[in-house]
Amino acid sequence: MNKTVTINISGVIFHIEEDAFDKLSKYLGTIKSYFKDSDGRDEIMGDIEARIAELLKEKVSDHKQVVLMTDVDHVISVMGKPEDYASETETAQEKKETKEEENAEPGSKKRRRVFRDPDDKVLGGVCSGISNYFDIDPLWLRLSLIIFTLLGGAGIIIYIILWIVIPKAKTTAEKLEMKGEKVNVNSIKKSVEEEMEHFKKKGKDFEQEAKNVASPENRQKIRSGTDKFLDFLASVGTSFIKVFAKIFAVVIIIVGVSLSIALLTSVFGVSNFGWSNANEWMSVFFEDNSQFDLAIIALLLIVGIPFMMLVYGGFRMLLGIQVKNRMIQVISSSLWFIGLILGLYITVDVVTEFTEEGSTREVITLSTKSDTLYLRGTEVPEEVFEDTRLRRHIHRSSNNSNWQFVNMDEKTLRFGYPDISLERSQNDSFHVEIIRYSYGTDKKTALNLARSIRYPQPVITDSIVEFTGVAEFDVTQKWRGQDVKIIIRVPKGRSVFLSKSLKPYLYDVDNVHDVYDGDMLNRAWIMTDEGLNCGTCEGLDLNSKEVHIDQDEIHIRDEDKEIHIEKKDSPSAPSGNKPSVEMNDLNDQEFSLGLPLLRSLIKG
Amino acid sequence: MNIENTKAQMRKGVLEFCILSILSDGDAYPTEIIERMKVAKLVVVEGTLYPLLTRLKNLGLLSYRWEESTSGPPRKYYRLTELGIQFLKELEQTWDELVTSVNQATEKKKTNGAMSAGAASEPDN
Repeated sequence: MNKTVTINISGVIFHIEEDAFDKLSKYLGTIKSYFKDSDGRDEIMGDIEARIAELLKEKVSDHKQVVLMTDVDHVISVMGKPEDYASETETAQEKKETKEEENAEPGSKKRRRVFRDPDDKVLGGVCSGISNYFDIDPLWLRLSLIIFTLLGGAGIIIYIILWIVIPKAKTTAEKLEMKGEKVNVNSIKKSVEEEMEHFKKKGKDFEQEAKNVASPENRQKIRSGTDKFLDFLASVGTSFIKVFAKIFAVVIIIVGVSLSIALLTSVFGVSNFGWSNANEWMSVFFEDNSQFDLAIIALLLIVGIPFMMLVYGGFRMLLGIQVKNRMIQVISSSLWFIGLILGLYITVDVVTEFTEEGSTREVITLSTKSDTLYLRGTEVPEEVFEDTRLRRHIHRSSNNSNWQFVNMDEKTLRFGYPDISLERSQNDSFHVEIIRYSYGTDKKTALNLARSIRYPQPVITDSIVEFTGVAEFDVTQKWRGQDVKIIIRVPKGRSVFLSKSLKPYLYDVDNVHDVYDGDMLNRAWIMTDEGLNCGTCEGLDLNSKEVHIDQDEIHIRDEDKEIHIEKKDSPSAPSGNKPSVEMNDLNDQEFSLGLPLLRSLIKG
Repeated sequence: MNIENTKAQMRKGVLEFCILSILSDGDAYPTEIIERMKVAKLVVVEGTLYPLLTRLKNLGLLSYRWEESTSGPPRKYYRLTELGIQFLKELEQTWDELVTSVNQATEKKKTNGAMSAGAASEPDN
């Protein structure tokens, strides 16, 4: 007595002895592994299984219903041992490879590729190689390259990158490919048509398969139908990706080249666009020339190499160059790391220049008996500023101040608009404090730098004080965050009038009403216990809201409304277990707020 | 590259030619094809035929239709396509040329090896 298994081969049911089943399934598994890499594996396996079903069917009858080991042996002897498949698939794979090669280069003539032409070269044969590709005279390329070089140096970069990217035509085959089938509108059209034809064929195949699938037949066909569909999708997808990759490559090249040009022009100051002579400005920043030079090299390496690699990669993608150039990878990445280390070293070096702060304080006591002090400032005319927006932005926001770069010559750097702040005086007189400060490697250096800032005393005529907008220091002292601040001390009960000309001097001046600096101008402000209060408040929007939030309560108050919410177990709450919500209308007017929402929020 | 591989490759090229020739006599399903090839002692085992048929079909040289069978699952009946017929014609021509030249080449070697020295010098002229 033997145990049998019921199996389904190609839609036919067989009863098969267990050991025979093991052998058969092992056999099929081995064959399948041989076809692993061939296309149409499922189809081949389907055909083989169908044939096996046919062979087994011959072996069973009403008298002998079970498939035996001998039957399986018979099947294997007819279909062939696994070894027979091995030699078959080996050659099948070779076939497949040659087929792919043919697909890559259809037509009798090879498709043209870009190489550097070693037979007609001035430097590296780049121009002649490209002109071979486009069928133009290399003279024009060489001329335009020279023009680009003269115009900004971009020509040299492009040439060097192309030299690296484009391989040299070494073998005769490569030289032939270099002058292969013309690349023109016709050949492009032809290749597009070939692609389209391929699509159509795929589409038709798929349609055919779909029809077959639609008729109720067995499952192999459905399987091969979906295969076809996937094939079709894959080929459409690949073409899209290819086209997209080319466009992407062009974009990458354009971006890379423009970034490289921008970098070079900004570093060497050879262009007249926007912000030029960055190095003049940088020389005020760096300790000495060698530090500056190193910084430039570091910048070029850290930023420039990725740009170059962008262009390099773009050209490789565009020209479809497969060969990897390990030299370039190694050289570029090690140069980049050298740049990084250099950059870090210089950063540390420069940062130490800013570690200590030093300041000097100059106090002027005013003798005026007037109740109001009038403050004015000279405005720096726009034309005095060097027209470099970038410079003005460099430190404008860095220090929470009005710091602005004004201009610079060989000896002096001028900067503008000291901060003016208003504070309460400890006695009955007005005081003006001028604070100069700077950073440096140590306290002493910082103090010396602060001392040598030249900023004239304000012009005082009775109750009018007029400030100058520009301070300066010697270029030789370098820029180390020098700045000037002015504190006006106002006695309680007396006031200051801020004239309009003071606008650029103010930065976030404290006052009782939290009015913006701009709104503080052209008004008198009285010093009170709480701070500055507006003496003439007409036209000021004082509807500022008072909001107070802490762990136990939320308190919102403006001119005429008040909302007060307290936490459940807050000690000050009236009932210990409920949160309290209190709303008061300070003007006895109707006042509504989304109360249900608020309650639900608190309960939640 | 071993001798078995060379043999297999040689046989393979001929096999494709034979399959196309057999199908030019009329549609057939794999077992019929194999029967005729077994008679000609070209194929020993059946299994190796299926990948060949699939490839020829994928190349567009063959097409197939399904036919119900009394003894098992439905059968694939293969037939030559237009391209297949054309391809076969070319193969027939190449085969004839090949047979002639192979015969000539191998016979020359067998009969007069001495002549080869004289033949080799000829291209120099």
